[in-house]
Amino acid sequence: MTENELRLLMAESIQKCHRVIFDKYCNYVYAIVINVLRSCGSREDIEDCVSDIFMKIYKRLDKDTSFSGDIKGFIAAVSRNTAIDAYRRISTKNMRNISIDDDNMETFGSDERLIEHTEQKEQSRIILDKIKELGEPDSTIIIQQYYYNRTAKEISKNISMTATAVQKRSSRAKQKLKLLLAEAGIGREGLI
Amino acid sequence: MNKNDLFKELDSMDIENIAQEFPVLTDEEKERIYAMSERKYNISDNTNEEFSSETEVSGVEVYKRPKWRTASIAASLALLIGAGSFGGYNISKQLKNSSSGDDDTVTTIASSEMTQPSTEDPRAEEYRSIASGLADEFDNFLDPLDEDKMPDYPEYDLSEEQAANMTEEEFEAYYDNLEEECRRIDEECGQSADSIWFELGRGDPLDHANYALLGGWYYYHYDVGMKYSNTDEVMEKALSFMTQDCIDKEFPHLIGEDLSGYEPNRIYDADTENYPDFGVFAMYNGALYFDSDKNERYSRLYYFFDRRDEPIEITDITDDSFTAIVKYDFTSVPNKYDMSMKVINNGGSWVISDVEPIGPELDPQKLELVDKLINSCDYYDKLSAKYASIEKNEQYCEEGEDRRINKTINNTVLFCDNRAPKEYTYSDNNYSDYSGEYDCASLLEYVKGINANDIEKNSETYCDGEKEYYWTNPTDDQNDNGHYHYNTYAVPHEGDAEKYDGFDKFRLNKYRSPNWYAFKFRPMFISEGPWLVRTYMYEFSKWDITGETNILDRDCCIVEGRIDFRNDEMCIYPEDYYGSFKFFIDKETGIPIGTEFYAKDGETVHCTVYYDIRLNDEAEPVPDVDISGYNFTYK
Repeated sequence: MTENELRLLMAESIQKCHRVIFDKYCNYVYAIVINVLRSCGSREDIEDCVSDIFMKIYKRLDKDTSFSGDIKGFIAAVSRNTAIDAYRRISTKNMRNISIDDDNMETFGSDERLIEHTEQKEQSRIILDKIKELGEPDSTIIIQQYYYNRTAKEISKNISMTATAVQKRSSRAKQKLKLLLAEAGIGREGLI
Repeated sequence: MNKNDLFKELDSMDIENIAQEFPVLTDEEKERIYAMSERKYNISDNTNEEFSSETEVSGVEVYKRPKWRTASIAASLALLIGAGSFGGYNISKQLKNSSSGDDDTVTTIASSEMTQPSTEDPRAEEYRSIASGLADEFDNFLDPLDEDKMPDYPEYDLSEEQAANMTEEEFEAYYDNLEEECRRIDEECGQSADSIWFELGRGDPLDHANYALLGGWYYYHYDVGMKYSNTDEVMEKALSFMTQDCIDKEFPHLIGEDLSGYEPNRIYDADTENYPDFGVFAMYNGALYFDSDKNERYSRLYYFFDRRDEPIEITDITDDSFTAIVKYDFTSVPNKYDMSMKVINNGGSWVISDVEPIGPELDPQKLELVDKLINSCDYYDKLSAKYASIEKNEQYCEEGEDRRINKTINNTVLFCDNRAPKEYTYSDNNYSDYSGEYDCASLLEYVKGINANDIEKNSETYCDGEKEYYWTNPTDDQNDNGHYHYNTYAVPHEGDAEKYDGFDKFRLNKYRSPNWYAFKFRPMFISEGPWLVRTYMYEFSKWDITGETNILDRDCCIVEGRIDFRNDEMCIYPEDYYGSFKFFIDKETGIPIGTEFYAKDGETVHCTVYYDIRLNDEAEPVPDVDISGYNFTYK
C-alpha cells in the first residue's frame, strides 16, 4: 500500500482506512507476532498484541501518512518490536526471567545477532520450501500446526476437512517432510 | 516435534511468505481482533495514551519517522498534518469538510440532471434537497462528536516554495513544533476525558460455564468536542428531524437512566441487583456520557452504509408529505439495499416519520428454508446419525509430472442431545478405497456396506454439557506419543444465545459480515446448516429451490446456486476458486442430508451425506464417555 493510496483512504474515511489496513495486513502482523510469542504467549496474548499493533498504526496515521515508500516496512517494525515488548512482559509475568541474552531472545533479536544465525536462517528457509513442496492441503496443515500452533480441530474447520483427516494427513506429511529434509541434508534429531 | 525448533530462525521475508501463502485467521478471529484494536484506539484517544513513532517501540529496533525530503510530498500532506491522538478528529474534520464540498458538487450535478424530465412534479427538486439533508442528519445523528467543537490543532501553513527553501533540519524543526503543539493539546484535552463501564450478567462471572453475559456498556465523556451537553439536547436534536414515533422505532434505547446512583466499573447481577436502564446516551454526575458500542445497540434495526452518489428518487408527492428513496451501497438487512424515507411537514418543519430498508420481496419458501437450516435444533431434541464425506484436492507434483488429485473419504458416527447439551462423535478416514462417482447417490451406495462397528476410532469429540473434549489417536510417528486435547471453551447454553427471530432479522455488520458469532447463537450440534446459509445462501438471488427428492426415506428439497466469490474451500486446483453447489435439505429438520460442491468446470470437489438418521425417541442415546483416565494435556 502506497502513501498515495493511504492518503486517499484517509480522505474518504478514517474508519474505512483502518479497516482496509487491517484487512490487508492482519495476517502479516499475526505471522510476525506469533513468530515471537509462540513459545510463551497464549492465543489471547497473541491477539492482544496484534490489536495493540494496529492501535499504534492507527494512531500513527492520525499524525500523518508519510512513509518512505511502502507502509509495510513500518508495520513490520512496529509489529516486531511490540511483540518483543510483549514477550518480555509475558515472560516476566511467567517468572521466566528472560534476559536480553537469553537464547530465546536471540531468535528475534537485533540485526547483529541475526547475522550470526545465517546458517540457521538458511536451514529454516529450506524447511519452509520443503513444506511447500508437500503440496496442499499438507503444507497448510503443517504450517498451521507448527507455525501457528493450531489444533487439528481448528485446522479442520479452516480447511474444511475432518479433524481426523487433518491428523492423519499431518502424520503422513511429517514422514514425507522428514524424507525431503534428509535429502536436503537436514536430518537433525528431534527436529521433526 | 518441537514446534519452536522447526521455525527457529525465520527472516522477515519468510514470515511474509507464510502470512501471504498460509493465512490462518478466520473471519471471526479477524473481527474480534479488529474490534479490539478499534476499542483500544478509541480508549487511548480518550485517555490520552500518547503514542509517537519514536516511543511506540521499546524493543531492539526503534522506528524512525521518515523525513520529508521534498516539498511536493510535504505539500501533499498538508491536509493530514496536525491531528494528534485525541481521536484524529481534526483530520476527520478537515477531510469531512473537504469531502462534503465534493458532495455538494455531486448533488448540484445530480440535481441539474434530475430537472430534465418534464414529467417530474415541480416540487420534486425541492423535496430532493430536503431529503438529502434529512438523510445526512439521520446518518450522522448517533455520532456524539462535533468536529467544529474539537480542539483546533495548529495547521501546516508552509507554501511549496517555503518548504522547498528550507533545509532538512529547518523542516524537521518546523514539523516537530507542530507535533509538540498537537501533543500538548492532546494532553490538555485528555485530562478532561472520562470513561466508565458496566457489565450485566446472570450467575457467577468466574463460573464461566454457568455465567450468562447479558451485555456490556462502555461510556465515554469528553469535556471538549461533544455535540450535546445533556440528554435533553440529544432529544431536542432527534425531534428536529424525526417524529417521536420514528425515534421510538429506530432508536429505542436512545436515552438511558441517569447513572449517577450506580457504581460504575463493575459487573451487576441481573437477578439480585438493581441495574440501570442503559441507553446510548446517559447522564452521570451531571455530565453526558455516550456508549461506545452505540452501533451494536442497533444491530437489530435497519442500518444503512455508504450512501451512493445517486439521485434520490422522490415519490408519493403531496404538499405536506413525500417518500424519498435514498440509495446506499448496502444495508444491514439481507437482500435489501436502499432506504425508503417517509417525510412529512410537521408544523412547518420537514421531518422523517418512518424509515424502512427496501429491496426485492424475500421469497417465503426460501425464507422458511433458511430459517430451518439456521435453527435446525428446534426440530429435534436428540439425534443419532452417520456421516460421510469425500473430497478432491490437488496433490503436490514434481515439475513435469501430470497433476494428480488426492481423494479422501471420511466416516463419522455421531450422537447428540441438543437440550442436555451433549454430543459424541468418532471418525475414521480412508484415503484410497473409494472409487465411486463423486455424488451423493454414489456415496450413499458406498456407505451402505460400512458397519459402524468397523469404523476405527481415530478421533473423538465429546461434550458432557460442561466442556468439549477432543481426542485423536496417537500416530505411528515415534515423536508423536499421542496427544489428548481438550477445549477449554465453555459450551454455549441456551441462556447465552440471542433469541433467533428469523432470517429476515439477520443482520450484516458494517463490514458486510454477519453479526453472528457462535457465542451469541443457539448451541447446536451436528448441523452445518447455519454455516451453509451464512456462506452460500445469504443472497437469495444466487440460489434457487429447483426441486424435491427423497433420500433414504427422507423428503428433501433441492437447492442449487452459484458461488461467485473467491472460495478456497471449493477448488481442486488453485485456479478453480469459483463454482456452484447443490444441497439436499431435509424438509422436516433442515439437516443438510447431502451437499455437492462443484469447481468452475463443473467437476465435483466435495460431497457430504448424512444417513441412518434417527430422531428423538428413536435416536441412540449419547454414550457417557469416561474421561477420568485420559491424560489430558493442554493444547
